[in-house]
Amino acid sequence: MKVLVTGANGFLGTRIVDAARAQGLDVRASVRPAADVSHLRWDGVEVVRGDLRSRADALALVEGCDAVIHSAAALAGGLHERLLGTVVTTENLLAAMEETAVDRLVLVSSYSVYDYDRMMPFAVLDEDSPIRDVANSLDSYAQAKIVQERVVRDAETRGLRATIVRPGVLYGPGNSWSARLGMRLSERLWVRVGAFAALPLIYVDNCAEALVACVLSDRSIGRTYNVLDAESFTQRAYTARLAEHQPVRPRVIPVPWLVVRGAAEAGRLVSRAFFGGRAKIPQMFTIEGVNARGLPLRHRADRIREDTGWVPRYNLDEALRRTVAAEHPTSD
Amino acid sequence: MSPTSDDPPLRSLVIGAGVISDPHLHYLASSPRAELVAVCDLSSAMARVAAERFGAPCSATDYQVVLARECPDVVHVLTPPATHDRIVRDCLAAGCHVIVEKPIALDHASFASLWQAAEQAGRRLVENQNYRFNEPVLEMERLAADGTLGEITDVEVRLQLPITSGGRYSDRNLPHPSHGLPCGVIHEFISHLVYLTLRFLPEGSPEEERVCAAWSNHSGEPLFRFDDLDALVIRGTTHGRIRFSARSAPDCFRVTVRGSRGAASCDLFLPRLELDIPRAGGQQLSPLINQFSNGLGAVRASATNFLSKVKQKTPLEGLGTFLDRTYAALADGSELPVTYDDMASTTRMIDKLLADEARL
Repeated sequence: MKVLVTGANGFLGTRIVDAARAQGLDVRASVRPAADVSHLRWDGVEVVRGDLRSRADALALVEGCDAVIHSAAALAGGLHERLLGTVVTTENLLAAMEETAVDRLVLVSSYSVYDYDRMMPFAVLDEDSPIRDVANSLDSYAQAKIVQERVVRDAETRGLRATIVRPGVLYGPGNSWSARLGMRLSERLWVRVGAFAALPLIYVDNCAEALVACVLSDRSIGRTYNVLDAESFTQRAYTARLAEHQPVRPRVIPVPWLVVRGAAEAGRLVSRAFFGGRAKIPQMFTIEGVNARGLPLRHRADRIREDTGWVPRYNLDEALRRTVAAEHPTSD
Repeated sequence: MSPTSDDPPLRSLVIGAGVISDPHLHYLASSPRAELVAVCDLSSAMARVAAERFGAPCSATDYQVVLARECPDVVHVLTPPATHDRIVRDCLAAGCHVIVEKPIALDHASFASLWQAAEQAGRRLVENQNYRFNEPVLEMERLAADGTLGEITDVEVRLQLPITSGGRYSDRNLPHPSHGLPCGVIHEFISHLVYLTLRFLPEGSPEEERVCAAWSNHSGEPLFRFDDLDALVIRGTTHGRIRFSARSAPDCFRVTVRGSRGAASCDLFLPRLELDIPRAGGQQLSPLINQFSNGLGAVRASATNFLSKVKQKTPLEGLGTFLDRTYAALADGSELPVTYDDMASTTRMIDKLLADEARL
């Protein structure tokens, strides 16, 4: 089987290429025309340059493949930039797949699609949990991901065989911190917002293997999966473990999540009272943003394991050891 | 002017759901003069998201189908400039009035041809010249018209956007389509610079004006045809300077008008009208009064501009006024806020700036 991996030089994409190669798959790695890939060591991988915003490029990327793992997405910008970089690219990819009769897709979506405002504390979050309303969400990344999922599900009516994967908080080398933890002001000073909420963690290599397991599993067709590590850690436990693994132990300032939640509530009241509810507030200080980052929930992600047999290879300690070793190559 | 209860709203279609569609759609979703019937875009998903966000009952990828099915009264053409000609003609042929984003056409001949098509169809055609309707610009026009500034001697319109150092115009993966326009990426902005300059130049025979323009690519970025424009337009005794820089920072869009009695200046991105005009204190005290007045204005503006940010008001505030006046004119048949002469003089001036004989 020949698999096209889009966004192949990204944080997750590089790991997907490695995981697919490890499974003996032929891999075509799609990278953007101006991307620097000189640091990547990919033996036996076909690297093709193209921009999925171009329909012609999309066609050239897809032609000759049997399946696609689509991890390319816009990681910055406002709503329009994200729609262009995440949704229009997916439309072009799907049109190209249809034209070349490539009908197997594994889409890398996001945990951000869930509507945390409609969940009660300590509720179970699984694949059936409510999705945010695109029109009213303030999170442009989530909006684009929801629309992207919709575009893929619509394409199933035209014969696409799709699996949608929603990774939790991805971490790994170069990306060990998460907005769900708070703010890392410097290497030595961290502000941890919240303590007891369970983090939906997924180590990047575990996630890559899960995606490859999906592309190899017919049972995953038409399904949507949350993908999480086997162990669950609270914000406090993860931060403590992460701090332990640093070359110099940072100082962690704890801020109760309820304080931030209260500030967001006050911000909403001020916005309603004085700005007709349209005041521009940084997303992380909106109710939506605060809930998405810290609402205590119970996360479930069993379905992918039941359907594909995928088991996370690395536990947290091993994953953090690998992460820190890559981030601080001279430390023990 | 408010619509009366007897005025039915005009049925509106938006073609193009990119960044600029947001303020158009905000207006259409909130104005009693308009009823948004559909949004079209080549991307089905983009059209659908825009329709959901702004309450349009339908979205589509093929505007021809929507033109035939919905029979809108007004179409907003918000697509890339190179596509305007074909889409505008289709909309006029379908019997719709057309509001088109700047630049309405890529040269004056194309504009004149579009205008002729509108005349033949008996429909109205108007280019969005939104910055003319920003409050500081309207105030400067009032000061020029009532003689406060005296005889106008100088106009400078300066736009600086550091677009060579990042953002969509310097994307090397998929070069922005505006790089292929006659002025390169500056074509995206030149209409604003020109129509604002022309507002303050005296009427006169275009043949008697002197025009010279230095088009440069100082950064040497191969993606850019030009990243800098420094142009001079002298009409009668009034000097107009049109300036665009893609390298200077910070972002700034300053309009300065000087006359024989005083001067007015404003950065439209951070609105604060600075005035140096004759005051009641006479020649001796006027500079002092202007200094105090401008100082107080700066304090006031720092608060109002902050609140504007919080309220998500953008420098496109004039677009709402432009659209409201346009819809009122379309409803009652009165003169549009942007006339044929306004559009013709703008496209003609852009041609002149690009002409070989004007090049420095």
